[in-house]
Amino acid sequence: MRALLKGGIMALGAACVLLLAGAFPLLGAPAVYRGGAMMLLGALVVLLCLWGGWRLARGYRAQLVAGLVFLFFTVTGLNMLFQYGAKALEYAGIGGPMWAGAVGMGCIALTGVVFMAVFGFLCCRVMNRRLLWLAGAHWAVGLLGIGAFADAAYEIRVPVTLPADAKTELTELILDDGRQLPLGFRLRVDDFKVRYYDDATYTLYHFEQGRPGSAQQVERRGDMLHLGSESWPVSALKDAPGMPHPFLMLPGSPARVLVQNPGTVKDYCAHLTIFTDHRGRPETRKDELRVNSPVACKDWRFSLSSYRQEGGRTEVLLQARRAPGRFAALAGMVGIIICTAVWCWWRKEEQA
Amino acid sequence: MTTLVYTLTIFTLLLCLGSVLAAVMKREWECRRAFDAAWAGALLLFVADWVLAQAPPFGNMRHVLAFFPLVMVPAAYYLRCFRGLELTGWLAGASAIALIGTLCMPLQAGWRQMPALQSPWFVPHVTAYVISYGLMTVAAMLTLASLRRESLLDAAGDVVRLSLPFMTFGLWSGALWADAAWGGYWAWDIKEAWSLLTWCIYLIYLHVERYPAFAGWRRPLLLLGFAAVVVTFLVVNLLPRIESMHSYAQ
Repeated sequence: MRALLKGGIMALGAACVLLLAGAFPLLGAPAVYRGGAMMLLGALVVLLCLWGGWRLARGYRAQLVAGLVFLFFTVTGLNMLFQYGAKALEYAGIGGPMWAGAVGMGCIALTGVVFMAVFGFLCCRVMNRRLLWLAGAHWAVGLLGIGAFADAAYEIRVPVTLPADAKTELTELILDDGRQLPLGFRLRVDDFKVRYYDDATYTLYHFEQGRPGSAQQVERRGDMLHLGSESWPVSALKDAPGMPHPFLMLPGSPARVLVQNPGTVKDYCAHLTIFTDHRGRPETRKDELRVNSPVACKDWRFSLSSYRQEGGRTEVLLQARRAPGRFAALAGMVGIIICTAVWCWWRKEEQA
Repeated sequence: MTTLVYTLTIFTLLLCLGSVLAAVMKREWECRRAFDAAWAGALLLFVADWVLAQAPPFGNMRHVLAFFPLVMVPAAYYLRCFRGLELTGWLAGASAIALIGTLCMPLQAGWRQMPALQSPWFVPHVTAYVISYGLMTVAAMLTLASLRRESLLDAAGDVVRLSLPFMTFGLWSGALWADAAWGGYWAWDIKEAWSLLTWCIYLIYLHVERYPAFAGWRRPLLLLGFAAVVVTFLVVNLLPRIESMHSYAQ
């Protein structure tokens, strides 16, 4: 055990040295970390953690396995319940019926109560020794490492640009090496909406010989815009096809146009239609893609990265990702969080 | 409103300093009450920041530093009641350092929460890191003080064990959040790399602390860990030439 501990400390120390080596921007951090040394060290850490967890749980291994499986199913089940509650709350928040809010709050409260009950049972009956949680933390690091290695080897991550025109369909991805990878379904962006904070500014452009010349900042006071002795209601500025922002053409010569510059972006979302199949039958799905809410279809997950607006045309920047190790890595992270907390906060008198 | 924020900051800072002074003079009751009052001041400051920002006030370094005293008082109670450690003066000292930091930073009143930050992970992730960094500051102070009183080194270890789960949650909840927001749980961003390095140093500490053979490692590891905390929390964000996906934390 002492040799194992020394090996573990040496591996952790080496990881720190390597992290430090790459932790300066001039060295190009990702290049250092994705090199062979990091992969080798990562593999060593994973093996040491798995072996360390096995040794730490000596005499109680069946209890540890049962406890971790129980914890895994509890966390995944409760995660689904929580997601359901959060969706119901969101639905109620955007004008859905009141019962949806009640169901949402009920689900979230139930999630907390069930988690506390199951957790209490786990600590008192199944994993009732502090050292078992330490072993669990080691196995969780191992699980995270296995997931990360699977992703390092097989992950596919492709940036995609799609116009929000409800016509262009994404059917395949083009990889860095030029290979085409069929998705197995079709996806299009029907609509794209951007919301802004209420901090827009206003500019008055003077046209000279048909081109915009000098510009003046216009002050907003309440619902009115003021410039010198002139004033205009904010509501007079309107959207028009082909114009990116609301504007008002002012009469007179030379021509002047009052333009609303957008405020800080609050959020944006893309409305997707996915043509896929379910149990052999064609299926059409409508999804809303937001920055923190990726959309998944078959093995792929689409995240909303950004957007581009030019001359009335909007292009949505997505990231398509297929990561076979993702689930293991995320489960490992949750395991590390829970097991470390219990081990650290367990009553000190019961230290093994 | 900005005057109120500055007034509350100075009020809370004075109470923290008063608590430290009472601890130095070994007046325990006064020390605790002053720190309790500082907590009330910090709570008012947090509310004022929230009203001013119109969002949870974790938008910049000043917001985060101003949150420190709010978590230090419950930590003092926890350590006293469950671990038998009377560290109120030390925690008050750490809070005072954080509040002095807030007074050196500009008051950015209007904070617009960008889309990536509008996530249920935002508040727990930042809160966990604030608690953890605050407690690690206390651990570092105790480590330095242990040069004169050896028993304080064990207290530092206890504080690390209280703090590490928060750091662990902060690190890996950030990865879970990144998976949803950026489409990948790890990107080897400079802030992520330093956070992982910090976590690894404290893990080494936990591996060695129980063994007498490694007794000489404890103090250097705790100080090294705190140095890594400072780099992760301050230097990475304040160096102007560093491009980071976490640059909104400046």
